[in-house]
Amino acid sequence: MAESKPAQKIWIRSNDDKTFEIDRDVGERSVLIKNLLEDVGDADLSEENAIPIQNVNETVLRKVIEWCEHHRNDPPASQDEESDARKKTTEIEEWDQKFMQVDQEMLFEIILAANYLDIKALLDVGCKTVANMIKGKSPEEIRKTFNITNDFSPEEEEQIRRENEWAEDR
Amino acid sequence: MVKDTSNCARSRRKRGSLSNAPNEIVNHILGFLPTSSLANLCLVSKSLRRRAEPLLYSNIVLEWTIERAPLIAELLQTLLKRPELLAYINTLSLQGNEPLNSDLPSLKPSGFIIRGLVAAVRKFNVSFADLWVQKLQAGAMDAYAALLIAQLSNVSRLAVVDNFLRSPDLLAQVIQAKALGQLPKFKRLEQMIFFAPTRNQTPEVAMAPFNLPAITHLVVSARDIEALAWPAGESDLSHLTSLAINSHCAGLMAGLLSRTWNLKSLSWEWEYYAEAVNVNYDEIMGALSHVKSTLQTLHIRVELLHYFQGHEEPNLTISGSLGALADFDEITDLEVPLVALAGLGPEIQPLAMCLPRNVQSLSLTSGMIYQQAGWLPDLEDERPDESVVEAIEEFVVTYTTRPPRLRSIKVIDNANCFRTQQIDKMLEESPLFDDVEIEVVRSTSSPWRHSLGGM
Repeated sequence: MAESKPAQKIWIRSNDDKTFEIDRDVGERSVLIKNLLEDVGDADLSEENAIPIQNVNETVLRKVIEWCEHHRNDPPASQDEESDARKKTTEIEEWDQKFMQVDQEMLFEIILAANYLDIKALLDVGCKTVANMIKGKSPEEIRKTFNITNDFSPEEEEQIRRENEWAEDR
Repeated sequence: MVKDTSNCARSRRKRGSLSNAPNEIVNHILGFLPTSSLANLCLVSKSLRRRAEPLLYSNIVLEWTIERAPLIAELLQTLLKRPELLAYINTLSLQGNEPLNSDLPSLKPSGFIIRGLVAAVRKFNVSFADLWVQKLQAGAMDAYAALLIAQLSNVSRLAVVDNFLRSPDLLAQVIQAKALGQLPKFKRLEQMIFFAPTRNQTPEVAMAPFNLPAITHLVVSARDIEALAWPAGESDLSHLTSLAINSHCAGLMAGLLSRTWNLKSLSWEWEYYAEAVNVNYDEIMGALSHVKSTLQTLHIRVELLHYFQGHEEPNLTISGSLGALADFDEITDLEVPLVALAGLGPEIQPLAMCLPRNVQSLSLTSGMIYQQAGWLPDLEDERPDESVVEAIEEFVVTYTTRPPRLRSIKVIDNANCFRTQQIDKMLEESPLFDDVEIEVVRSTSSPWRHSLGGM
């Protein structure tokens, strides 16, 4: 039986030199890693030859691997879903919601890593999490949430408010 | 090396916030947000405004409902003050679908706003400016929608439907003036939905979008129109790859389809009215024959309007068949009334003989089944006529061969006359359809409304 065959292992290394041993199908959630593996013969896969993940540190990479392991059996996203992010809901499944309960810096680190490693589903979950932190909030509440300084004069604010009045939820 | 790494780490820390994340990430996040959130982001900080504003204006949806009129005058005023925002508008949807007899709220902009908009209309110097200005002053929605559309040039998808086309004449004139270059031309328009809800429109309204030179996807209503009108000379329609149209007239369709040499997808629907209507499927086949070598998707939908059901029987004669579709080798996706394809009663054809040989996705609808069976449903008694049911059963039973690439069969019962469970069971149990996905549904919305959803 194919199921009893042990999963093939690969090794990836964070930019602060921590090497992770992971199952190949977990690593292949990342299109970047998948493409790299296609160019490497199976014989060349070894712990010493770990694939360098230049833009991601140990803490973040550990977190990304955790997500990939949980989602290792997800079906690949269809082409249709790729288009028009605007139409998609910002609903996030429960496990992913918990996974994304991290501090803001970590949240953006995960998003950046997902973008670099080309893990579309993780990138979407991360971006939806941020979008949900913006949705329904007033400008002042958004500033507070993301620690942003208001650099508009009251006159500018009033002018922008008038310009975009048509877009307000009524 | 060490120095590089530390720089890299520092810059990464910097990127770890909403204000400093790379553009592609911020755009991806903003892509999940509704219009109102984008408007709020514009007020947060200068840097977020720079990122949110192009997105806020890239996809504009204005809804006109019984409860409220959209703030279209306010939008127009902003665009007059900051015309550079026009370039961001990539898709515009003017929508809202209410019963035709309902009253919609009109616009009541201030005199100050109206004066600015009137001046903008006067600058265009078109022959119908006087009427346009009068309508602006009266708060007529079509005049405001016309002024918005008149200024657009970068838009790639434009939908003007239902409530916004209750009075379609001025909008059609604007579309035509853009086609002729009397107003700023559409430079990138690919998809247009221009679907009036009313009957008795003029040919000029129905034909206006056909005069635009580069559209690939078009949804248009040509109800009650018998003849083509080509105000800008006869158009070459070779740019059209997808057309959804409401027309009962095979002659008009033949005129259009003889010009659409590259048409891949056609959704053709019509309804019956109380007036006498002849349905000649052979004439419909004649119109379709023009696109035989290119057509990949064909949806034909025929409905009897609900208000008509149970009232007097239309003076309806039906002849011919769509069986010649069997020779359309390019078709992979077909939706068609069951009886139009294979007839009914003594002239019934085995369904397999009538199907395009490369069809993959097949939808069979109940359209016309009562009419073809020679009776109308009695609203008091919803049980379908036994002979109709038997005829449908026969389709399934006589189905001894199938197109080799068939992978889905959908049975759509808008008329509520199929014994859906029985049909479902027969299809599911037939070994012929082991690898075919089978779905039997009570009703679906009109195909062109799906394309609106996609915007």
